[in-house]
This record gives sequence, structure tokens and C-alpha cells, in this order.
Amino acid sequence: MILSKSEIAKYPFTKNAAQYVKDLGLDINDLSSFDFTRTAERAEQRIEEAILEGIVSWKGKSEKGLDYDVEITSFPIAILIVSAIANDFFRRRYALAEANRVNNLLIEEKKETLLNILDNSFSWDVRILEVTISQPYDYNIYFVDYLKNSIEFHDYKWKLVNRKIKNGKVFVKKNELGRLITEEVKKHIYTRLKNEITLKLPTTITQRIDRIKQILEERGSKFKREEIPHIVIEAAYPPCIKRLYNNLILKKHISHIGRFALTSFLLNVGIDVEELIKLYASATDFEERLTRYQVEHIAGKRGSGIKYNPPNCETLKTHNLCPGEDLICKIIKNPIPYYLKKVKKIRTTKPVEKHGKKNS
Amino acid sequence: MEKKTVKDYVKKLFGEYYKDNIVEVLPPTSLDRREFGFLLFEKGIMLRHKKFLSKEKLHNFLHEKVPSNVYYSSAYYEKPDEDMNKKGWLGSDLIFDIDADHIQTPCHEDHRFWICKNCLKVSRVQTEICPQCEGTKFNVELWTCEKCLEAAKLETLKLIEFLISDLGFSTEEIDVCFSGQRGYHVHIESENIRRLNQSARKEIVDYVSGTGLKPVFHGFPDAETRKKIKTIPEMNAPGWGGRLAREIKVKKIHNWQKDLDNAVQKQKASVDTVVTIDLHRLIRLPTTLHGKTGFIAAKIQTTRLEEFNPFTDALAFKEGALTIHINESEKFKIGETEYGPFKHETIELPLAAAVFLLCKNVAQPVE
Repeated sequence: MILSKSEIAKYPFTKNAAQYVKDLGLDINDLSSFDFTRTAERAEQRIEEAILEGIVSWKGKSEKGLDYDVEITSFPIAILIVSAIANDFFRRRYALAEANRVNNLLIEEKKETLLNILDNSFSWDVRILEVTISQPYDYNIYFVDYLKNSIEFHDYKWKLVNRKIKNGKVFVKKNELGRLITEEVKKHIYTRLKNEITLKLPTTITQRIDRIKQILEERGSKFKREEIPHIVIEAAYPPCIKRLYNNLILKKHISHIGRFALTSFLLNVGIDVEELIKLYASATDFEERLTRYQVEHIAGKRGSGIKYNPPNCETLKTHNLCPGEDLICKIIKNPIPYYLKKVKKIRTTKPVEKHGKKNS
Repeated sequence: MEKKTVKDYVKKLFGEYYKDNIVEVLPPTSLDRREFGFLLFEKGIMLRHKKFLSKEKLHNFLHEKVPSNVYYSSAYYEKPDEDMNKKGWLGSDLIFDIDADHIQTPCHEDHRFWICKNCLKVSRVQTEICPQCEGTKFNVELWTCEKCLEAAKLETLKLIEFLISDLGFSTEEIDVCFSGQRGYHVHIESENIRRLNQSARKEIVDYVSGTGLKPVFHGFPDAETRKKIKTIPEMNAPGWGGRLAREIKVKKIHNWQKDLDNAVQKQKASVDTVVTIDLHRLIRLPTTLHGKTGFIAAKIQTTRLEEFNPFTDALAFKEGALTIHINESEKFKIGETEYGPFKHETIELPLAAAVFLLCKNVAQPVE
């Protein structure tokens, strides 16, 4: 079904919206042909809201005389501006803010509207269900389509194993389908923002770009990443790594993936390849040639040249490598951030234990 | 006879098998999109990044090189013969490996044995120095046991139930085969699942193995709310809800949480978590021989899996006999006949039984 004009204004990422913009004659390659002062203003506002509020506004109901055309056309212009700035942190921030707006709007919609939006954008296999006392779900969705986005959520209720599933269909409530759509919108917008902008932009746009860059700079300094300390602090290893490390010392068997987790962790916190090979030399089935090959591979000194990070906590759990969570585990998703948090904690409470020097 | 010549002997037999039975060796679908890997009798390393444009070329390779083990990628690539980072991943089949190693059978711990690399002495316990020749290097081997294989089959049946009833795959989309040694492989070829990433595949593994399962999401009260809530899902409820309900006897509960945990353990399918998640996995090509047993990695119709017996249905060398000297061997069954246990014996055995022991590296042919 074709979306109404107000729906297109609410959901400007849909195919109908793209067609509408095209029919208006707004040609991205010829911006001078289009009087878009109001559109450009709203586009800049969208971006500012994303940076400052984390959500793009929708004044559909409250504001009389809302110009749907401005609302619709400002979206591709905002995309153009964000793409031109080409900053990955900013791309994510903007995609999230647009998605947050969509999430709020979807909550108010009828069940059928969600299906219409999907038909008009992502073509998932979703069906509406009759809700009864014993059947409290609004839709079922093909598990492959469900997994496209559920994997981004960390609450246990989203795990496939905790869902009701029958013949490949996962049962979901309306707000849950809304969350899945929102996540897809976020990815979709983020992908669009990665397009390289090669065309020449008019000054009304470039001036706005400069203003936004300034706002970003002012805000940007807040988001500096924590750095890995220069010495290795064994006391800050997470429980999973501690256990693997102890098993290695005790010459107990460690699975392939366990070794990968341990090796990639230790390399990331600053133990060098030679030191690590020496450590493995104590293992029962040590073969130097093979160990060196594998360690160097993980360190990014062979093959693809990619330095590997340790697997995420979720993956470690799947492979039975998580010995149980402590308090820090509950707020991180990977052993490295655990290490950083623990280091910080240790440093504020007691002097550090040294393990080895980091080669720089 | 020298260790090297045992390998030569088995290689000769494998070569004869491939010569007489090459029509039985089936290439995978989309042959020219797959990477192949081979283990050769002569070398300990894998020959990888091979590509074949036709079935005949694959067959010729088997005739010429006579590999001990043949693998292909579950993945489809633009250029299967390039290095990993230049291959161009197009998608992967969904695969599962059910290996007896991952199942806690009662005899689970008994199957590991150590063979001295120098004098081939078999030890049933791990040692650092060979009692016969004082050698210090060993190969760790695993026995192929009927009971363990039966347990692996049970897990495979449970897995198939998950794949059909819960995930909605049809029997036509599911290919089951014997791994050739200690378990079963399940391959699903479907356009729908080809592009699933690692995280999504991990969710599927967690689903069939009950990892991260919280019964409360399936309508089971937890230990605290149990006194208030008396009902649990119907036994015929779909998915995990019904599975747990079939295990829980509400009136006979001792420890609610423990009973639920046990129910999950009973109902889950034990699969090798690494294999399914790996998008670039090389997996044994069904219908080829396994170098550690001489058995065929036989394809099995999903509906016939229950009656499949690898010790009868996966035999490659059905005719002839061979005299071998056996260092040491457990009891084993080939066809209807039981053999062994053996210790330092020279004996004539039917070819399948003899090849099995040669492949296990515990016997040598006697000229």
C-alpha cells in the first residue's frame, strides 16, 4: 500500500518518500534549481537536534501548518550535509537520532501501518496475528529477518533462545517490531551517510556545514577514548582471561577458541609476541613453529595484517569460556573495556602490580 | 614395517577405492564457488585454496593426489583460490558438527590414547616419556566407539527436530552425513540463510544448545515467583516452552532451578559451537574417505538417520582380507562381527577391519 503524505513525512527513508522527492524535482545534482531555504534550515535543525538532543523532532500534531514538503525534503539534504562532513562518530550520532525519532512515532501507529512501512522499505516476512488472552503477540516474523537486528540488543529477552518460535516464525509484540524496524532504519541511514560526496555544493549548504563542524568540535572533545596503560596489569584481567591464563600456567587443556581469546587479549594489553610464545612454551603440546605462526597471525603480523580483538562476552559465553560475571562484567561487552575499567579502579585504590613492560 | 610405508599402503588402498568408485564422489553445489582443502598422506599440513571448475577436474585431482582427507568450504566465494582476504565472501551454508568429543558419554574419557611418534607404542595413559623407547613425542588419537556414535546420532536427531519444528526448514533443505569418524555433519543450503553473519549464527547455536535460556521468558516462574504461579506451558507448546514442559513434573519438584537446568540439558542438542559460527569453515566433503578410519563420510537421508549404522553403512572396503600385526586395539565391530581386543597379534582380518586399524595407526601390514 502507498503511504500517505503525512506518513512519508514521518518516514522519509521509505521508497515512497524517495519517489516523492524525485517527483518534486529536487535534484541533488542541481541544487541551484530548487528554492530550498526552508528545507535547508530544517535540515540544519535536524542535525543540530541530533548533536544536542540525540533525537530529531517531529512536530506533526502540535504545530499547525507544518509543511510536509519541507519535512520530507529536509531529510535527504541533512543526509547530504552529514555525508559531506565524513566523520564516523557523527554519522552514527545522526543515524541514531533519526532512528530515535522513528521509534517514538511507531509507538503511536496501528499494527497495519508498521507492515505498510516495511513493505515500503525492507521487505521482511512479517504477519499480523489475532491477539487473545493465551496469545498476546501482535505479529510473527521470519527468524532470519528477526535476527538481522535482534543481535544488536543485549537484553536476554531478545535472544532467540528466549523467544516463542514455531515453523521459523518468531512471535513479537508491536513495540518489539517497532524496535527492530528502528534498528534497521539506523543501519540504513548510516549506510547512506557513508556515500562519498563529490558534487559541488552551493554556499548556502557549505556555510551550514562550517557551522555544524564548529558545534561538533565544541562537543567532540567530550568523547575521548580511554587508553591502554603502558604497563601490563595482571590484577586487572577479567575473570575469563584469569581462568584461561591460570589453565595455561597449570598446563591444563585450553580449547582453540580459548587460546585465541587469551592470545588476542594479551597482545591487546601490551604483551609482545616473543613473551607470549615463551608463555606458551610451558604448555604440554607446545610446537614453536605453529605457536609462532598463530600468535603472529593474531598480532596482525601475518596474513591479512589485521590485529584481532578478543571475542565479545556473548561469544565467550557461547563457547563456555565465561566463568561467571562480576560487577564490572555487567557493564561491558568485551574483555578489553573490562581491563580499562579495572585498571582505572585499581589506580584509584592501590599501587599497581607489574607484569611486564609494554614494547613501544 | 616402517610408519611411512603404512601410510603408503593405506594411500594405495584409498587410490584403488577412488579408482573403482569415483562416480560415488559427489561434488558440492556451486562447485566453482567453493574452496577446497586436502590433507595428504605425505605431509602434515593442509593444501588449501584449491578451486575446481568441473566434477571431472575434482575427480582427476583425487586420482592423482589420493588425499587422506577432503574438505570444502561451507562458504561461496567470488575467487575461491585466492588468499583469505581476497576471496570475496558471497555467503555460507549453515552447518553443524555433532562430534562425540563434545558429548559426555560414560565411556567418553576412555577413548584417548597416545602413540609414540618414534616406536608406535600405544599408551592408554598420558606419559611424558615412552616406556619402550624413551621417546618424548606422541600423537594423541581418539578411538571411534559405537556407543559414542550412537550418542552423537541422538544429538543429531534432536538438532533436526529444532531445525524443522522451530526454525521451519524443510527436510529437503537439510543434508545429514556421517563425519567419517566420531560424529555427524548437518548442512543447510538455502538462499534465506546464506548471508547470515556470525552473530546471527551464534544466536542459532545458542538456540539449539539452550545457551542463555531463561525459562521465565517461556512462561516458567523463577524460584521466587513459583509459589504464586502454579501453571506452566502446555507440553505441546511450540519451541522451548513445550520442550521444558515435557521434562518438568510439577508435582515432583525438589529444586525448581535445578530441575529447569536439567530439563535444558536433556532437551538441548550438543553441537560444536565453533563450526557453525565460522563463516569460512572447511568441512569434510560428503562421500569421500576419512583418513583416520577408512570409512566413507556417507550422506544419509534425514528420514533414515535413526537406523543408520556407520559400522555397516559407511564401509568402503567391503571385499578381501589382509594380514596385519596389531600393536594394541580396543574391541570394535564391523558389520555384524566383533573384533578384538588385540595386543601384539598377527592376524588376518577382513579388509574393512584391517584398514580401520591401519588408519588408527595401531597396526602394520605383514608382507
